[in-house]
Amino acid sequence: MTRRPASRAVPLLLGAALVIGAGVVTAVTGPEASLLDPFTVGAADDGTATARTLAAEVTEVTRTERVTVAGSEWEAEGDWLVIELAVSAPTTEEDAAIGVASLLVDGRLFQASERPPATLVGTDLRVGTDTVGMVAFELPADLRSGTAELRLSGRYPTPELDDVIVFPIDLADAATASAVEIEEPRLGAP
Amino acid sequence: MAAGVRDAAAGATRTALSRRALPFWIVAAAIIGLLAGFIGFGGLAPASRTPAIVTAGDEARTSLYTVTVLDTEITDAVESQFLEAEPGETLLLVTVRLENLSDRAVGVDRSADRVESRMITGREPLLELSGVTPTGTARSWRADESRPAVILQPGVPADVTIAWPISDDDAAAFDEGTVRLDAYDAVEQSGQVILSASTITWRRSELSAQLDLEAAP
Repeated sequence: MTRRPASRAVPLLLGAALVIGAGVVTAVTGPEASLLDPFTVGAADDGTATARTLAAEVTEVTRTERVTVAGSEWEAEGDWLVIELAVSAPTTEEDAAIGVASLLVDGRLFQASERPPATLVGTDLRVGTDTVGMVAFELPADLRSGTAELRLSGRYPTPELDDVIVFPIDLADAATASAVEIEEPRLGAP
Repeated sequence: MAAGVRDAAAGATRTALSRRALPFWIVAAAIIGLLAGFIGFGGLAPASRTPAIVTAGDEARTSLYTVTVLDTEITDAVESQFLEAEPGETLLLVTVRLENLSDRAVGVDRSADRVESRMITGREPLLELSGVTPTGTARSWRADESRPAVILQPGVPADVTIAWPISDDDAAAFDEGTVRLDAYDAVEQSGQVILSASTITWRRSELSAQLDLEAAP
């Protein structure tokens, strides 16, 4: 008894379909770490983003080649992006602070520079009153355009399954200045 | 008899050049091509695991960072960092230019956000002295003496001073020029750390380069 060619092809086709199916399932399954990614919170219409432990607004973005700090001899040259923020605590002042400020550009993750003696990172925040301060990012000289993501998290290190505030920042649109003086964080308008 | 041999030879030539033998020749040519490529690109050269010797001032490049020795100094105290050598010990200060080639900010002597790098501390530091044994933990700060806990931003070179406490006897060995800075290569690993699944660890791999240290005159 001879089998028809069509019936001989069935197991081959089935096998191929199973292999392709397995490949598709593997491709669409996210990495294990993505199950624990933080939740991103964007800005509302008024420019303020409110996460579980932080409420923040970007007030000024400046690119500069020289940063100084008020009342300090420290200064540095390079390619800097200085971001001024108004931040407050939405519900409680306990442990309310920016734990990590990072900038995601072009797949590279920068952290707010530890070099300037004045920074908003780690400053105690108040409920109902903005704390205005600056974070500075030191970037490579070749990074002059593109869209960056400013990420603020209320804890250190960046938490899992908790809020992280994300602001889009256009590097090409940022104001430029020959020098920027970084000020100590101060209490702003309530 | 001679004619028979001739016929056999002619037959063999015909068979060898016939259409049916074509796949054989194609395969043979492919194998010869592959072998030529393998040998041509250094496939038979002896495998070398000898780390490169890098003179002071030249850059050593690993897969995740580059390091250049800028200055070396032996001293007893660094006032700006409130650092003082114990009795019988002295401090070996090496100023290096470090550049982070990965795409996340990393710390030099402690971890940055979600990245464990351990460049100079821990059991397997990436930058280690050879020829002397440090008597304590290394410390680092920026050469502009801003703050400790240096963070290397991706693609931004930073001048960092590293201080190792060494015994006075070893300081004498340093003058003989036998002390080098070993730079180990590292691989990024993620998901295997107790802290969290998303933490990246720079795990040390093979010795990549040995950098000469020259004593300051």
